[in-house]
Amino acid sequence: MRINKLTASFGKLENETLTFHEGLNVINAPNESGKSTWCAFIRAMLYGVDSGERARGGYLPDKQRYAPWSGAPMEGQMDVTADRCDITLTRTTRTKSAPMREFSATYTGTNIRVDGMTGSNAGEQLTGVTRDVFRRSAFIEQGSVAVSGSPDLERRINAIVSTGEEETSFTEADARLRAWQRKRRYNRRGMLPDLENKIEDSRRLLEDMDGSAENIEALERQLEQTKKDCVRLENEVTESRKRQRRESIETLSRGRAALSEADGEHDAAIERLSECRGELRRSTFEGMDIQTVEDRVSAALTRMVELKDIYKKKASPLWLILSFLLTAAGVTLYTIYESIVWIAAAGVFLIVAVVLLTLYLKARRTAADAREERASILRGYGVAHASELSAALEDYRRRYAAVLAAEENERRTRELYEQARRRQEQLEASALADLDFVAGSSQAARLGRELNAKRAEAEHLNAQIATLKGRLSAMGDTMVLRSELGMMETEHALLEQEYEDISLAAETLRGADDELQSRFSPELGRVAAEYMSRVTGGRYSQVLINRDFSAMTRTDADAVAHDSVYLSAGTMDLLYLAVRLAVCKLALPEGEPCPLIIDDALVNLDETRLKQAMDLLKEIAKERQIILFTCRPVT
Amino acid sequence: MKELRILHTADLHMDSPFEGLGASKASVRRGEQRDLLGRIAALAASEQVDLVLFSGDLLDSDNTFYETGEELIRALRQIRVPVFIAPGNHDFYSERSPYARLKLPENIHIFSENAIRCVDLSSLGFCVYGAAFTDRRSGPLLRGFHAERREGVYNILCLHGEVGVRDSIYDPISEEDLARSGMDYAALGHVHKTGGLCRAGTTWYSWPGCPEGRGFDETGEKTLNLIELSGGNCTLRPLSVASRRYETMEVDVSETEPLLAVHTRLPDETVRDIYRIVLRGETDAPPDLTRLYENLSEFFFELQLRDETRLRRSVWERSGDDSLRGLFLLKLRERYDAAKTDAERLHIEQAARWGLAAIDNREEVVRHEDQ
Repeated sequence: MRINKLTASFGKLENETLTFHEGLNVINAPNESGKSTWCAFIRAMLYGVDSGERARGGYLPDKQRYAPWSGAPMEGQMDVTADRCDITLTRTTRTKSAPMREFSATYTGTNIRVDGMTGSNAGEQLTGVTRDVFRRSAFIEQGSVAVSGSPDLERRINAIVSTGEEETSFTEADARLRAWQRKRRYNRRGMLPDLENKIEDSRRLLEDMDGSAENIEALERQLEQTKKDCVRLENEVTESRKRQRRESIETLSRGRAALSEADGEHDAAIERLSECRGELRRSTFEGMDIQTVEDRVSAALTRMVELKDIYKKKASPLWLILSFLLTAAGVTLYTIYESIVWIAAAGVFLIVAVVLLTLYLKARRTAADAREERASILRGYGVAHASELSAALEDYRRRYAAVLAAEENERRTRELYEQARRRQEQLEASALADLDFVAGSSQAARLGRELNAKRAEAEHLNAQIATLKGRLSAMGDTMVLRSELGMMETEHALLEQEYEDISLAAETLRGADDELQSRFSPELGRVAAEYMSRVTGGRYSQVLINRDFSAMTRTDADAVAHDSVYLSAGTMDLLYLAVRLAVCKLALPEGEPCPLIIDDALVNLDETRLKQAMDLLKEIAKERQIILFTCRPVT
Repeated sequence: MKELRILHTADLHMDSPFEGLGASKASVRRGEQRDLLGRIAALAASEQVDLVLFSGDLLDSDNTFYETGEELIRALRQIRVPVFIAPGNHDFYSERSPYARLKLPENIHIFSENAIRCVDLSSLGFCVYGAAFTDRRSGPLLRGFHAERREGVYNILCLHGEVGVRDSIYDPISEEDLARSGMDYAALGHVHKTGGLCRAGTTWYSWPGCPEGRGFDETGEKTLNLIELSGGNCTLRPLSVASRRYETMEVDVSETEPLLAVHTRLPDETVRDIYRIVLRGETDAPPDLTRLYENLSEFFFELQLRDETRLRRSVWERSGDDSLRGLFLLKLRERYDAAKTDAERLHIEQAARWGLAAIDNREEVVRHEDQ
């Protein structure tokens, strides 16, 4: 294809025209004169304006960027020669949202439409390559000399270096395989990890459930034991309470019996005492103190003995009578004898007799007094005789002893009663303690507490079991879970297998691609190196091109190749120009050479390099039309 | 001698998970499994049997869920005739086993010793001999055992064990043992596929298999045995209590569209069944399982589709092409030819499918995923 003439209402171009000839066309114009616009126009004429593009950061789509400044609709005409026919392409705008949508292709100078050529396929029909490939090969925009990879270009190159079909692109196929792989596993995401998590969750849940079920069983066993214990304890408690009550009551009643017995004895003792005291009072001495009685009675007896002695010693009147007789005798004899002697004797005897009489009378009186005193003493005691008094004393003594004994007895029984009472109090207290089945310390209370503890334990176990059962039923049915787990595991194995299969596919595909690349890369590198060597005057003689079309070059003197980023701007431009040209040579169809459109790619070159580059372009221009826009004067 | 009717089943494996079922359907099956014992009980009543024998593996493990134990009691209580259970290798008798823990109705007798014991019910016209596994394995239990025959009394054996596998660790039973045992009928269990009615000497024996399939390894009609003993004669009538069955169907889709191929092969009544349809044959592209599932799933309780089709050999033919595809296929083909196992070859074929799908920008090969 060759471009002959362009007429453009496009961006700053207002119905301007450019004409071209075969070979190298150099359009030398200063900056801002519309060189890039012309380039864009050529592309738009061939492939149309993509109306779907949207503006985004730092990038304006062609439809906006090249909207005519005059406000006129975007349109243009391009005359080309293709396949020895002159064709006029016309693109006009009907609606502003779809600039240059209206397309026509006629044989130049006629109205005859070119068969099968449409707005969307014109470019590909004329250049032999897609828009993508065109932009990456023949169309060298300002600032983007470097070739960027595209599946289309790849396919082109694959097709060039291989003999087979050209519809496959490794990058695309690889991307698909990787996407499928990523869908299954990408780090910790994807179907496999998701499934693994689910499986893990299910397993844990099942373990948990098994654990719970085991727990429940263990708890139920425990509960059963506890319930048995409860029953046993209940019986024991009932028994022991019964026993305890019986014992307590027996002890209490025994105590009560002892108490009342003691009480009775004490009462009897009191009665006896009062009886004895009554007796004592009713006796001769009327309850007098024994000592007093003893003393008195003893004194009285002694006195009576004395008195008895006194009145027993009777005054004998014998001597008295004798004296009187002697007196009488003396008187008589005196009478007879009238002797004085006799009278004297009679007088003496009379005196004696009188004395004796006095004495005798006195004695008689004393005896009578004594008798009287004794009688009064006896009278005083109400007895007739001293022996009676002794007997009375004896009796009194006996009674008194009886009182003392009764008193002693009363005291003793009172003490016993007190003891019994205290004892009963104690018994009652201890019985109360024993019958306190809540807080007491008896066996029954202890058992009761044990029972309560067991009951609480049973209740607690019940609650635990209920909780676990609730949890278990909330967790679901183990069998259902196990079934699902089985499903998931099967699914997991299948997915894993798929992942392996896809991996193998990706790996093999990469291998196949490497092989292809190993074929096209050297070819591309060889062609590029040839160009590079030419434009650098033989300085850079080797070019290595990677899969992504990045390139490395080295001089003969260099030990290692330089990545393009380490090169000077000029050398880098040259390197990419060489790669571009090589790509063009390899990727563009040979039969109908497509023109090269170069927009200011040579700005960074020094004079020598520029000349060498131009020489190269001139040579290439022998085979295909070259349209070079530049701001520098070139020869 | 009067006739004796026996309902004989084994290997119920209650509480084992359901193969190939997701949560919702597994839970339906769960309910149905609970009914299985009930159906057996109903059958015992409707067939007026004289005794019911469970020859082992009634439960899947000793770790049985307590609910199942309760179900067991509930169902067995409905059976009005004597029931004998001879624990097998899965539900072997131990202190921990549900058999020891559950309070079973009085008509249930569970053998609990690892040696043959007799339960004399000669007043009913039979004696039941049996033994239990008390561990996961058991030595031969019937070896050298002999019981005298008595007039008017049938000797019945209820035992879990494997017939004809000499070194089996699951109570190996030989035909000689059976012939010499003096039994009229030996009700065996362990093998999940029924062996029909057999005879060794004067002893009839049989194992019924599982009464209901639990996975794709237990496919087809599953039954239990209704045995009728009459003097020296014995007949076996297989009865079905299964609510569902597992089936595996292989369909060759080399020449036919998969959906048509499946429909051609499919029996009429499948809605209650759990099917696995395996697509076989050679195809260019993998069959569209999603579409197939959508079209077929309603015909089954549950459907699993397995794509085991091979890559049509002609696909390999392009492996010589000088293109990305050709090189890719060539490299795989080399591996395929060097592969030693079928699994490896399958792996490589699948890789080829994935690779070709990626190269041709086809849809991802989607397997049916149970939603």
